[in-house]
Amino acid sequence: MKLRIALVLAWLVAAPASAQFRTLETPDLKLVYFGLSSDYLTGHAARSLTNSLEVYRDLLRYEPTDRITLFLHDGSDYGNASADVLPNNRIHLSIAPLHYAFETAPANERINSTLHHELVHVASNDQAAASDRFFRRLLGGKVPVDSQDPLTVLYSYATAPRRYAPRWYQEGIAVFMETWMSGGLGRSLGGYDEMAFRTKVLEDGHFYGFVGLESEGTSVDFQVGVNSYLYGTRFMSYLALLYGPERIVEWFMRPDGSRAHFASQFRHVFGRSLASAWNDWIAFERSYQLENLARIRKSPVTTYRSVSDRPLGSISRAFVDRASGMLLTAANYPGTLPHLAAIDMRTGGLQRLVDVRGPMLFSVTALAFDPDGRRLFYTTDHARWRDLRVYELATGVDSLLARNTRTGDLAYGTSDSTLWGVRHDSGLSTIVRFRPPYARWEQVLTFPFGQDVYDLDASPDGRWVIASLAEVDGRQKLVRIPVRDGVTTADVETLFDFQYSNPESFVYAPDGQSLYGSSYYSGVSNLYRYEFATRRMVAVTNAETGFFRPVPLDGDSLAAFVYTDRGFTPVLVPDTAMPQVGAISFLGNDVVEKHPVVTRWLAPPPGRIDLEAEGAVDAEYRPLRSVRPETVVPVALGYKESIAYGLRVSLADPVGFWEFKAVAAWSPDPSLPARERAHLGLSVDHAPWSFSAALNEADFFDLFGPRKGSRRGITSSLGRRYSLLSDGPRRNLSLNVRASGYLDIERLPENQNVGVGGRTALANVSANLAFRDLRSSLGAVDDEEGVKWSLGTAANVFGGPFIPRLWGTFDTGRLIAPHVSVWLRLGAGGALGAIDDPFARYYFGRFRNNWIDNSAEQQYRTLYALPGIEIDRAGGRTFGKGQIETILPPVRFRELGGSFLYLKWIRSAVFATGLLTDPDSPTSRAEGFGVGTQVDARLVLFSYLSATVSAGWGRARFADEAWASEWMVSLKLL
Amino acid sequence: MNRKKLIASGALILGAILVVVVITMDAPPSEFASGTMGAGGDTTVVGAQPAARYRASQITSADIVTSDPAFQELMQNETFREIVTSGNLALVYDIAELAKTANLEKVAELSRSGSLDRVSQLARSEDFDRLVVLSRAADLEKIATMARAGELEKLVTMARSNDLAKTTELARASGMERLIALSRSADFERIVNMARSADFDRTVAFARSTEFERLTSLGKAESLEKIVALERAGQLERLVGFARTGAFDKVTELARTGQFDRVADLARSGQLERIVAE
Repeated sequence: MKLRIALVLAWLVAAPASAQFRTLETPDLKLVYFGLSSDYLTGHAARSLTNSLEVYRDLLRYEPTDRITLFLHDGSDYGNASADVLPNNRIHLSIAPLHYAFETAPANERINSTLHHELVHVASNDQAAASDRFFRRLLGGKVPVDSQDPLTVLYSYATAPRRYAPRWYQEGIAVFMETWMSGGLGRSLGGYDEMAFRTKVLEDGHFYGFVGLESEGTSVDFQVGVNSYLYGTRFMSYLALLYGPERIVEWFMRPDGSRAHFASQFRHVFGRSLASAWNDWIAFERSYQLENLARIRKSPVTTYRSVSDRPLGSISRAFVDRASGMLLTAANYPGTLPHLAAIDMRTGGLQRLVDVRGPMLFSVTALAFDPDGRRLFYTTDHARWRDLRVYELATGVDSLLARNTRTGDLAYGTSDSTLWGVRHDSGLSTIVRFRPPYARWEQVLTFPFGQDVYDLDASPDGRWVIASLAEVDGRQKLVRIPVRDGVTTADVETLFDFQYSNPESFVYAPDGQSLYGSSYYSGVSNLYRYEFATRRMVAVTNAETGFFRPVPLDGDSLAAFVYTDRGFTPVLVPDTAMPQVGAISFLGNDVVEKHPVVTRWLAPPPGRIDLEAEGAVDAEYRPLRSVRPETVVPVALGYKESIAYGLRVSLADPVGFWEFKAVAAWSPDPSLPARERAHLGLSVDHAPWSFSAALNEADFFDLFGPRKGSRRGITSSLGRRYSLLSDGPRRNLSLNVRASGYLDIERLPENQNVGVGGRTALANVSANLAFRDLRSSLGAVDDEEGVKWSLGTAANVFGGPFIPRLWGTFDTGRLIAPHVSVWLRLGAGGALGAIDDPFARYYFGRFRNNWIDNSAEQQYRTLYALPGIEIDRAGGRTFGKGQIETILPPVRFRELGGSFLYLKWIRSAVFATGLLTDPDSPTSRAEGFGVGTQVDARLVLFSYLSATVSAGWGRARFADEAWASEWMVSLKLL
Repeated sequence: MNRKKLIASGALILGAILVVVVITMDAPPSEFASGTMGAGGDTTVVGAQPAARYRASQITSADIVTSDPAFQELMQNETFREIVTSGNLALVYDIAELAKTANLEKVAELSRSGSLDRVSQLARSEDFDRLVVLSRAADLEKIATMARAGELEKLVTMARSNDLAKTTELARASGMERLIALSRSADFERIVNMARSADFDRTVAFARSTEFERLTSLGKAESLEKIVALERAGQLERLVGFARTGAFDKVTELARTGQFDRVADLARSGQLERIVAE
């Protein structure tokens, strides 16, 4: 308790974030956690990781090359995890419960199973063959890619080549291993996966090749990145069936004698090309699913009437508004922002009601409906902590009810206007309720860790709440909970035990005498009816693909959603009782029947691990003391027209609270003055602070001009970032302040062609307030809608004249058609001081892309760009600028290239720009105007590394000068 | 064998084989030994065949060892969380102290009962110290009982008295149930007054006795002040002694009928036995 008091105090006091973290360490593991929310799980997490690692030591012959850092956090409402080995082995794990929609996640204890999964990523990418070990010794470790230094791409591949295998490969092997280590609970034996491929065969849908999957399939399909899991897992199961599971392990591990590239290793192990095996798998899959369809068709297949011919992608729970006859739901499909929708059940017409920010995959949002008040309650910001909102159907008014409630699975109680939900906090599931005005939740029932509850509904009489309950061992039940004070878990009544199939979206019939929901009980998702009177669960449908989210209607039919290859489509089905619904076969089950060796891959329980025997030590996490060298890499830098050669050293703590980079280089060019031939640089990042210092700063991208970042002299800069609003990664408000000093300079720090007029020492301060609220639809390659603005100021405080400058920008854009958006970009600024003082002027010109660059490829959007005229050619002490840009739909490519390199998409835009400088000075006032276009082609190298080739043309004139044109070609690396 | 019979037998056998083959082909996927579904009872769906999916034995809740689950449950309560995030460090300590005295499960129980709101309201008041002291004396569960019954304020009233120490003693001596019973009575103020008296120790001593309920029943009568007067006079022991006898009910009845003065006089003079005789 004293520890907790201390932790609570630490939490309340405004201390740096890192001061509130602790570690639990063993020789294999460094577990870093935030004290208040995660500490009760640290023992279990440490035991789980240690347990999985022991299995992999034996099964995969894997020994970690450095200690694994496991970072536990509660930063999101749904569980997820990521793993990497560059520059060190680390896993980030959110402790929140998983999202079980459509049985896309197993329901067994998630920390144990997730660590089985993530450790496969670590093992497969960390294990080193002889060549990897050589380069790791040479370069001081495993080198991550640094966008400031593209040569790190080569170093990174040399030190960890398997890290650059495509995502379907990485996730396929992880899901495969996770399934068998969890005793069959995993997507290798998942109903959703079977359904997805069965539907493709039924609808003669497109099967992506292994290049096309990453190029297009994970971007335009409504399932986006989940396609990597689907295809990867399926392909692994096919290979395991054909060749045996041990060959999968032989493929993905990296012992001596193995091939660096994953496709080369495939040929080495299987004796054939990856492409041919992939094609054979597709042929096999068609045959396999035709057999499953034949099994389904042994009984009469349910016929249905489509409410809308248009697939809606991902969908939420649905309701019928009897006042309007509309089906209300939330939808998310490519080309349109996710939104609440009203669908006319007679005509199929769809009306967009309001956009849903930060949608969930598959479910979009948690939705509840007040039929009397005609209000839709829904949640937003699902990647972080969910907010609760309400939309009034009658008025169209949309309001925020409560922020960061962390609550979903909403259900509305019509008897007393209570809004029920499931709250995720500190890894626990709690049933809560909101009473009007729904600004505050009340705890009703908290489940112990490992038990998760979801998909609530309230009985019409207000006496009960039903839910789906997932147990530690993966069993799932339909349960009922009485509505009364003091309810405990002992009061939870099991209505039906679905064993290992998800009971999903069960809802009350209007008379309260039965429930309707769906389950993969037979292997196919069908609708079921639970009858309270008889306590029977009755099959209502026999689907070829799958039915979900039933809505009981008056009469003898149900509204529901049927799965199609392009997403879920609303339909009407008869409410009946099926005499017989046959079961299908699971590919994963065929694997275990043919190769029972996978049964021996079952991991023992993590509780067997004795942390004390492992030497576990719990202590405060001291990030600065945990800093250690990561890599030492050679660099080549550009300085003016010369090349400098040197080394860059990187140091950091395992979690990344402190990062240090130091570079030392030398220019052998004899034409350079002696005092400009040495180059030093240091950068320190400790959020929210950043510091940098340099002597004769050099830049890799200066090798490829025309924009030059290198400068003579000594520079230093200290900055701090204030996060004023953080509502997701694409909606935030921040203030950046910076103080910089310069000695022995010859050019303005921000303008390479402008001299300093004899002033060689400067110090200035700047501040920039920036807001953005941007959105894009599935399949987009750019921001498509939203607002962003900034307000900046800077002034010299030493050396130069005190000339304060102020500038601002405002961008707003709107999606006018699928992937077509129009943007208006405005800017203005001014400075005090003499009109011809270089310190008081703003300079404009060119696209501003270097031939090889690392800045954003659309430099024409920036404040100082004016494609067509020379860089810094136009200038003024005050200015106003406007640009209209139209972004056209991207053209995507399914199979243009190979596993090493492929073309992903091409995007184009057209723009027109106007500039007015010194409008307040009759003698200096000048106008400029230009038009232009730019085309960008995205390439992918080594599966993960992006490069963009841009080509642009601009034509502009400024003041009284003649029109000038500019062609731009640029390669943006990383 | 007759040729026709041979052919017929062969056809029959062949037909039987064919039937077996067809049945086998149509048989559902075999259920793997390690896991079965649809095993009957409330796991069987009418009209649907369960799919066979391999399942090995799984970990159980016993394999998941977490620490202090009660604290985490408490953290799910919005009121507690408001207190924690309110920035009021003193309050946080108080809650923690309260939890420490009574152990977290009791505080969690309070939160489940919906009474933590009241406790936290108290926690924000100046009476909280008193509540903490009481909780140490009387066991937080009893406070929870009072809180559920809507009687927590009475406890607070008692706690507010300047004689909290005495109230605490009384609580320890009598057990919280008695205190609760007293607090429900209309004469609670009188009890409090008695507690405030200089002879409280004697009251405490009496409260420890098994006759406390009897005193309570007397206390309901209007002549409670007289008991107090007796107590002050140092003669309460006589009444106590008499209360242990089987005639106490009669004394109670007398007290109710307004004849308590007589009882008191008798007690003073050591002649209570005469009541019995009467």
